[in-house]
Amino acid sequence: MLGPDLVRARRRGEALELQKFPAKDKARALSIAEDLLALINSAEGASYDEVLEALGAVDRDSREEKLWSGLKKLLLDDAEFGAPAAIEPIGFRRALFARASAVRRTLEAGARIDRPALLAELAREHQIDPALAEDALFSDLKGAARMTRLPRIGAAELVERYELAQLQGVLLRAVSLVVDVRCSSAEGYRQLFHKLKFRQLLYRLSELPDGRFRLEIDGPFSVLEATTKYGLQLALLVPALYACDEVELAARVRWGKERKALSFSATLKKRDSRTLAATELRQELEGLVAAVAKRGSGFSVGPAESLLALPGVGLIVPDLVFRSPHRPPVYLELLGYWSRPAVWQRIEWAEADRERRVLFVVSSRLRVSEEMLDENQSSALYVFKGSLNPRAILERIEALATR
Amino acid sequence: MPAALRFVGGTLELTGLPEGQELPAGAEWDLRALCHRFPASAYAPLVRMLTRAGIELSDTARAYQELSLVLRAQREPRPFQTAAMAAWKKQRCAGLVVLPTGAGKSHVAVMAIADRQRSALVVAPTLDLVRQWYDLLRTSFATEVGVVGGGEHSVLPLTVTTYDSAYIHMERFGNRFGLVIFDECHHLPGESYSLTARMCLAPYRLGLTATPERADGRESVLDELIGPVAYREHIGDLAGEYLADYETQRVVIELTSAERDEYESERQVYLGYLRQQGIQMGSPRGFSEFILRSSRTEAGRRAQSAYRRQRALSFAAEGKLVYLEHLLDVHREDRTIVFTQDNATAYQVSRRFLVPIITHQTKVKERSEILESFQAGRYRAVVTSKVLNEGVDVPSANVAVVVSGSGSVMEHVQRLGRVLRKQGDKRATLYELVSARTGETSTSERRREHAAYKRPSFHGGRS
Repeated sequence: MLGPDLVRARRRGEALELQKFPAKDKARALSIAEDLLALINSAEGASYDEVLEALGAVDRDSREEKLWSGLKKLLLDDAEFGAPAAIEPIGFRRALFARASAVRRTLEAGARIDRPALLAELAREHQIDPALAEDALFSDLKGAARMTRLPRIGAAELVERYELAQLQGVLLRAVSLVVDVRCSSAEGYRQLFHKLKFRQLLYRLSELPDGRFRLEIDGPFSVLEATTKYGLQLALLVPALYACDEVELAARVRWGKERKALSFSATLKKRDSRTLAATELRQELEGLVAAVAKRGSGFSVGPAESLLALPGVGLIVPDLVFRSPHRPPVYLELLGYWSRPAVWQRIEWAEADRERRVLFVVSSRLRVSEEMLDENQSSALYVFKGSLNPRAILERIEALATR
Repeated sequence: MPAALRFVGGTLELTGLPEGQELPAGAEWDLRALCHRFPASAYAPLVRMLTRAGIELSDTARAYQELSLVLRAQREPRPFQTAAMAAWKKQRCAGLVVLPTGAGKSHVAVMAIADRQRSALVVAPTLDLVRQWYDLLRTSFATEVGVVGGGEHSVLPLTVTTYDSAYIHMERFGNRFGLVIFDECHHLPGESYSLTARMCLAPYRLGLTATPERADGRESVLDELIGPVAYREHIGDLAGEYLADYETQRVVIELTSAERDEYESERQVYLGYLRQQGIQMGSPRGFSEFILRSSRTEAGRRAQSAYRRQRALSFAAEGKLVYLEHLLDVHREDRTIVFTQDNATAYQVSRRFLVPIITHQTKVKERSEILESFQAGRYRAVVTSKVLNEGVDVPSANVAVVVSGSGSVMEHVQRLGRVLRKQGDKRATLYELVSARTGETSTSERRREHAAYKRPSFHGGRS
């Protein structure tokens, strides 16, 4: 991650803008990244300070200083440095300083310690080559650490990481974040909300007219005082946001030394093309949808596009919605083999929400009983053993739709 | 259903009472969780108000314990320590005790912990101080002491942490302490650290400092975060009887002719750039303006390098180092702390004179070893940049040499404080080495603007 000092941003009125990164600049960034990599790859075993000096040789003009610094920081983060194992500098200097202190007290007034002789004497006692003694004295400091592993990242990936780190660097100074988001799968939303929960962030959720969802995200204390305390947590959300299909974000930031309050906005293009859903579960749901259609139950079934939030209680991300004329929709959430606490959270949610109808589908391996939600409630539990039974599910959906 | 109070991320969530309910100041209705939310620091007034109003409360927020601590050794407090304790208790155990360095502030904290008998958290600015508090609490009370920071994370009914760690972790453990003690509490009013106090539920709060005043004037925030000043004594009132008597010596040192030529030439480059850009370094934004603008052009970067070089020349002038060697010789039987403004000079002193060094890069174990050896007399001198400025207790230290420093009065008073701890009939001396006809001259004038430096002193010169 890059700190705000390495972010290429400029103020425009009350807004903060990341400097554009057009193809021409990106090509230049790639070229600098390649130069940095070439230099660092020829410096294995060099000290941190020496590596820094070597990387300074990259040809760049004054406008590219921050770009070079950012790429260099990310590159150094990807390498590993350590103190030389053969020398134990703390013990060496402890002995040297104690001897020097003792010698100084024995000298005549005005006499001086013979530093080279003392250093050589202690080096011999510690079996250190006297020529290396000067370097050994503080060889455990960061600048003296030797590169023990070269970076593994390539130039293109370094530039990509740099772009992501620019956004993260801005969010480090954020006091709040508003995200308008669309995911093509329930799993995409689930991963995002899982990250929010993991980062102990709070949010307000609302649905936008175009079907996207708006999340107003900050931390518990934010309602009392605008604080950048949650900036790191917000920055760490960025990879999860890049996994969504569409994201527009707006943040309030405190920027610069004076912590000037500015607004910031960005549109993210999906980068993470991995399949988000666990294939096994998705296949089960596809099988269920096909079986329901085949049975001619009077319900149309398809992927759910709603998020069922209940402030103070929790949020349900249903997988499917069953619709039939003149009756309320019934949602289905497949919990499968998730944890038992996830089931208790669903029960708490169902007890608090008497309006919306949800069938929670849970594996018998979780050892929970369907009776935990009774017939007076608008939601129900279906505990399955082995595979999903479309007939049993439809019976329960029917019952919920008519409750 | 009774109202319920929970501690969540440094806040208090109050559920079961409707929006619009009359509550103490600071409450906000939180639409994200449909509850009233308060800073954790509002715990005591909130519970008092709900109790007065007869509202039944299920309180799971408070997670601190009542303790049965026994002081291992009953030490007779000094009269001003007893008076400070009484004044603090009169303020419902919430407020500041301002005592000069070396007067025994930490003993007041031990008295407060013994008096309140609640889980207590001590927050200190540096790992050296954390180590010192850890030793003090462990030897004072028959109990284990937790440490959070410096690679350790053990939270116990008596715990010591740094301001940085407290800022990170208070949202998780801020409800586990009934008493919080902020050592060197003048650090607390900063934007980040102040959140630490607000996220802590402790009803009892004690702030300790020798110098509550801040350059930004935010010391008034301490009233809200801890409480008002309960008790105050000045250095002059205690010197001699409770603090070591001391003298300060300002030694003005000429640069060598080569240094002078380079200094003037680099200074011209830097000043020329300021003039050309119309930057006023004396203005509040002057320095940041200089850094911002100079990083954009080749000429600017040259000016930055010239700025650093002329400072380095005055910080570590050859004449200063020669004089320092003389002082190390003269005070070979004393315990001398050498202070510098920057790490580079500190390492230069350490290498050249073979004296142990403590900087932010020194690991806790090595710091402890160095300070123990210094106290025991195996080392007669130690060099540091800023990390020993505050609070570190080395009673035998009697000589401070400020090779270089900032213009901060607070820093200079704190450095003097390192050698003022009373021990026998010890007499302390602070030497301040100043490079003649450089920017250091005015810096030195600024930092001496304190009553502690208004005593008769020696002004020397050397060229």
